Amino acid sequence: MTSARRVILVVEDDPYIRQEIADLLGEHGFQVLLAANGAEALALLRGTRPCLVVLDLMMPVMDGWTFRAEQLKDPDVAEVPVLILSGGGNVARAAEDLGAVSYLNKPFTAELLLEAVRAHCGATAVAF
Amino acid sequence: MTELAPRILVVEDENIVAMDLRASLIRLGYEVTEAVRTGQQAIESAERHRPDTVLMDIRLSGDLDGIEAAEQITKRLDVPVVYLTAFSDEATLRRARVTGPFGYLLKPFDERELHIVIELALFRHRAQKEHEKLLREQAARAAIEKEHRWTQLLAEAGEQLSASLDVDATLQAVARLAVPRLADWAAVHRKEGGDVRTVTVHHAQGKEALLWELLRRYPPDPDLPHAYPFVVRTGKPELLPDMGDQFLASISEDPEHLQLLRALQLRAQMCVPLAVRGTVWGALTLAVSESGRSYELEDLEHAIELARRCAAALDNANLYQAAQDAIAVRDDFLSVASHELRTPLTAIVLGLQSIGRALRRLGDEGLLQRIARVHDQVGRLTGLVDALLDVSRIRAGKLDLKLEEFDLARLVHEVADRFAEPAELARCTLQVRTPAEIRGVWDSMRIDQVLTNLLSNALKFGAGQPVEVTAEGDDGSVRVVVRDQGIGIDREMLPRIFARFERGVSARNYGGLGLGLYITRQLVEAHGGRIEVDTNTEHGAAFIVQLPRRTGAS
Repeated sequence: MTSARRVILVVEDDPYIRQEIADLLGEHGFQVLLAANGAEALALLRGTRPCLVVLDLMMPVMDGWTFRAEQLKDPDVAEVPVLILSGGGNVARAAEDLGAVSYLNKPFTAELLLEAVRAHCGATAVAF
Repeated sequence: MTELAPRILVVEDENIVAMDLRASLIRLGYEVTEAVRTGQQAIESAERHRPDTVLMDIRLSGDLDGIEAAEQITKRLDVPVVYLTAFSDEATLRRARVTGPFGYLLKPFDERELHIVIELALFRHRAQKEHEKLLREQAARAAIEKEHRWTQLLAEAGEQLSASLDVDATLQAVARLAVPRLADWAAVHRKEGGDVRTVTVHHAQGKEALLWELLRRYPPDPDLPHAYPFVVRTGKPELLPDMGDQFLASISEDPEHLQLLRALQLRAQMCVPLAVRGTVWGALTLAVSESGRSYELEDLEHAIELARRCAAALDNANLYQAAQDAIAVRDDFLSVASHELRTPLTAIVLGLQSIGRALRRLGDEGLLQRIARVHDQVGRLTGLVDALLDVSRIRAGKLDLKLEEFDLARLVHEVADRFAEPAELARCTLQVRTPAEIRGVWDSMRIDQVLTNLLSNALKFGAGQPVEVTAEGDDGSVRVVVRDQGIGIDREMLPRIFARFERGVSARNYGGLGLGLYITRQLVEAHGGRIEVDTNTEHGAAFIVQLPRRTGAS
């Protein structure tokens, strides 16, 4: 049953945002893995092969840029698409530099996030 | 014009000789002003008649002999004296020589000898006067030239010191200014904490490396009165007019030190404080070496004046730098603050929406509406945070436009639709007039922002009155006008309303960060457009945005 659900890895250091995203995506039938920084995310990424990584950029321990560089070095997980979340600077430029499939400016709405996630993971048929 | 006969005073105590002399002189074409017998009479007669030459017998009757009388006369008058004497002993001649006579005539003499000696004396005296005049003229010219160089230096100082508001550049200008006109080399020293550090040196012959080595290896004793640490401490200028080799040896710590000092050929040096508003914060050392000049008090006065101007310029540069630093800190802060504010805003937006979904499942329409209103306010808060970020981006020159082709007419309607509810709340009717389509290449998000800013201003200041938005375009440009009939803009405020942190009205009556019109103008100008206020309206305000228009991928 769980194998039918699509897995999304959310990498965000702010616990409130992380939980809101987890609730939202969970409500819409996605299985969500949570990481508070790039290092945690790398460990989860290698074990689970999600359909999408939702990645914040500025984080303690390991930031989004370093995470992305490490991800691209590992051929097993290099192909997993990344969606950038950021609250400052030129997000569009950063997303392009990092080869992300898309980006969202903070603050973003639930609709925008769902739309972006569905574009890469497909709509889930799982009822809740 | 015939030359007047030279006038001669005869001082001779023997009558017969005197009469003989007078006759000879007249025969030779001279005029005899008087023939007197004593030294005292000679002095008085010379004062009275101002002769061209004095023929002075050395041995005279009375209190004064001829040499003493000549001494008195030449002390008061510029007149050549020729001694007549029968005595030519060494002692007398030595005494006579001290008075700088213009000739000697040993008795007995004939008329020819007399003539030659007098003519020589007159000629030598004239030549000496010419020479003195020449020297005086040269000195005067040198003084004028010096003064001229000084005025020029001051003029240049004014120019160069005001050329830059950068502290380091100004310090270097200070050192360069003084060389070579006031010094062969110059050094600027600056107080840093408890230390005094040399920040720049300039040498007329490019010997900066030697100077640096000297300063690095042998920093001056802080108690050495002529050196910069002392001057910085006391705030008093110091002048060392003449530094001979002996002096250099006396201040040198070891043979290598002396070698360095000699290699720099130090001759004279001045050190003057750089002080502003009573605080000494540095010093300027000026020195002469290769040119062999020396320093006088006048040079020190010049150095003090130059230092005063330099210090004032540096004070300006320092204040400017401090202001720039403060602005940079503020812009950094704006950027960090807007970023930090986004994190909780994101959590709030997502949280509100999560509650909204739950309420929808429960079917509570009333609460849903209240949640929607809170959501609108979060949107407003987000707009304010965006404005802070935009300001820091504009300041940093990082305003990147994402150009794409779109329909501006449609965007105007979209933005106006978004304002339907706020317009209703402000009791404004919103009229929109546009052609069916105005396609062009702009940054749609940024143009949206421009329209949003202008419309929210119109509703804010034109509450209760109609607000009108029109757009029209031709081949090369488009024109969007947002017009309200509200309180209008004070004429005095017009030049300032597009400036940062400015507001056209008192903050007591209307809120706002004072950033909206500033950002709006920057966005319009980033598109190569213009924004202006129509001042010909009687009521309210009309903002006119003009943007260049091009289509497709041209």
